[in-house]
Amino acid sequence: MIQKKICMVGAFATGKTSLVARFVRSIYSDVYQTTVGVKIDKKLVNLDSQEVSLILWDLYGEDELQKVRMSYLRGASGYFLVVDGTRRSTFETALALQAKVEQTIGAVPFILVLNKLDLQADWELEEGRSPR
Amino acid sequence: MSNLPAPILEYCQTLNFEQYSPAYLLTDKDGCLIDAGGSLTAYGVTNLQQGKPIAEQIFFLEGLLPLEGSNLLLPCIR
Ligand SMILES: Nc1nc2c(ncn2[C@@H]2O[C@H](COP(=O)(O)OP(=O)(O)OP(=O)(O)O)[C@@H](O)[C@H]2O)c(=O)[nH]1
Ligand SMILES: [Mg+2]
Repeated sequence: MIQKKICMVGAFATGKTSLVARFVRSIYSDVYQTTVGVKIDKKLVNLDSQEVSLILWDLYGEDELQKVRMSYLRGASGYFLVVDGTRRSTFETALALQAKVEQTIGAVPFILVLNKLDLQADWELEEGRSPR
Repeated sequence: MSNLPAPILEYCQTLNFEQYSPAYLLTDKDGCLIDAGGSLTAYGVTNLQQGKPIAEQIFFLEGLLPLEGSNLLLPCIR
């Protein structure tokens, strides 16, 4: 069976854990419980009638005190860069993290996720305007 | 450190085992299991099969091997 490691990367409280919980267990909660270290989940998906096993590494978010440890990303086939639309600083954190990840594990594919769509009225990122 | 009396050294060692639950996995260069031991059950690891790829048996090891001579520190995994 094909098995791929995928990481969730981004600033703290951008919604990484929530995205994984929704995807793997179809649940969502408003209660914020910050991730310590990494929580690893497994999810089987069907791709072109082939079963693929996704190993999801939900990393703790980066803040001023704690940088994301790059060793967690070793062997990842791809990663999600999660941004909280209501906090522009999380976009800058994501850009910096992306550069650091690429330096460490090379140019593996990533997807930038602009999260908290329901709060779009409060977004600090505007369409058609590049954030600084 | 070894100027500590034997009973104290022994105490420290026991403390280490209890606190850190060391375990090991030995694989060949293709990542297939050769040998294993230590406190594996502390990590929920049971029924390991020799000769089979370790990443199929302990899924979070996917992508981590081979280590290529370096060591890898991954604290706080759940
Ligand atoms: N409004 C809104 N809130 C969200 C959304 N996704 C997550 N949240 C909330 O944002 C907070 C942080 O979510 P988490 O999923 O824990 O964020 P995280 O990125 O895993 O946080 P760290 O582990 O600390 O890095 C929680 O209170 C969530 O309920 C969303 O799409 N919209
Ligand atoms: Mg989290």
